[in-house]
Amino acid sequence: MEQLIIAMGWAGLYGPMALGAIGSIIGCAIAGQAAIGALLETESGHGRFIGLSAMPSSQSIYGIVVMFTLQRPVTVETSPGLFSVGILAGVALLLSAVYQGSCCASAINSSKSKPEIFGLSIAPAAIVEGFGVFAFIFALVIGGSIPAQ
Amino acid sequence: MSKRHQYVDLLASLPALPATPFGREPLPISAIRLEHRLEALSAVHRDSLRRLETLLDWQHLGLDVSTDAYLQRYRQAAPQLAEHGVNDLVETMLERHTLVTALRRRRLDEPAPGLGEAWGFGPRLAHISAHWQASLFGVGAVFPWLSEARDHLEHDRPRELERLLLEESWRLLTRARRHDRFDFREVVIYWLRWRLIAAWQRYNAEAAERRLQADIERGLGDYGALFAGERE
Repeated sequence: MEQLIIAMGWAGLYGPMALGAIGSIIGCAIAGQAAIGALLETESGHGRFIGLSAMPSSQSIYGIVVMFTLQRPVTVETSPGLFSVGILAGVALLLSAVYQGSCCASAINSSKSKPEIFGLSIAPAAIVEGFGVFAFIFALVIGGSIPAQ
Repeated sequence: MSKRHQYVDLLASLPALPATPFGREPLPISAIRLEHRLEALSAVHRDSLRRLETLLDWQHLGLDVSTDAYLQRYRQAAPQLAEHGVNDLVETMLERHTLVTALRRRRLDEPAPGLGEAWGFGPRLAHISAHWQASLFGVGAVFPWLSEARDHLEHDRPRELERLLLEESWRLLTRARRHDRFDFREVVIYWLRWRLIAAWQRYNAEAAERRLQADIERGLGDYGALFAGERE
């Protein structure tokens, strides 16, 4: 049983990083494919499409920061807290990256034929990012309450 | 990649279609380029699109295809189209064709189709037959465009009728769009909308050619016969 609890602690420690990265992979792939498609139909503004498609990569960075914040000896005492905070923060980051990728793809698809709405079309992706930031910040705050040993 | 995002690159590579099919702008993408882009579809989806084309395109249907043969063709394609989530689009269009057929048949004083006769498509065939003499076959509330279509048909206004049917299809397809999805259904919706624009432009070109020919003949008047004589 003790081994299982320790394993869960490690999962919680690495979880935010791994889940955030998985989300970023999926999100960037979705938005990236939309950007590539849009390149075929547009004469200019290619850079901003590619730039927008990289937006879901921030969740990986948040995951890394959460992982380092949670880093401490993994013991029976610390594992439950590490698991709960780490996995939940990771899932939130994963979902926010995937759906942000979807929002970016829609923004690229819409703004390719109507460039003037580009700025406004990013707003939904930015809002989704905001929820990812909430999960990130409060994981840092709540992570401070997990016993150090 | 999930089904929801299966064709995100393909759809992003297609230019936006105009807000209405009746504009004067040229087609946003040519048939050849569209065909080329659609090569990105998977083999099964390409097959579904080909089946859809054979169901909807008169060029593939021909005038000698009987209604029975056509319905048989539909029944063969329906399971695959349903599996790919596009069957409802085809059903609605075929039901519209059925209603226009009913209007035409009644205008020719044909009797109501008998029970079991394969004369059209949709869940309301029996209802339409039973209400053959009713002004709108008892389905006017379900299809609000039907009364206008009947008026156009009765007053010999084929162009207006064509425009109304096209507008109705356009409205249906616009409603069916889901902007957060990039799947096969969205590709089909794009393809169908593109076909509507192309159909109207073709129709317009043919009508313009006929009008020009009539204007030339009217303008030439008696000289037309003179020039005809010169040719001889």
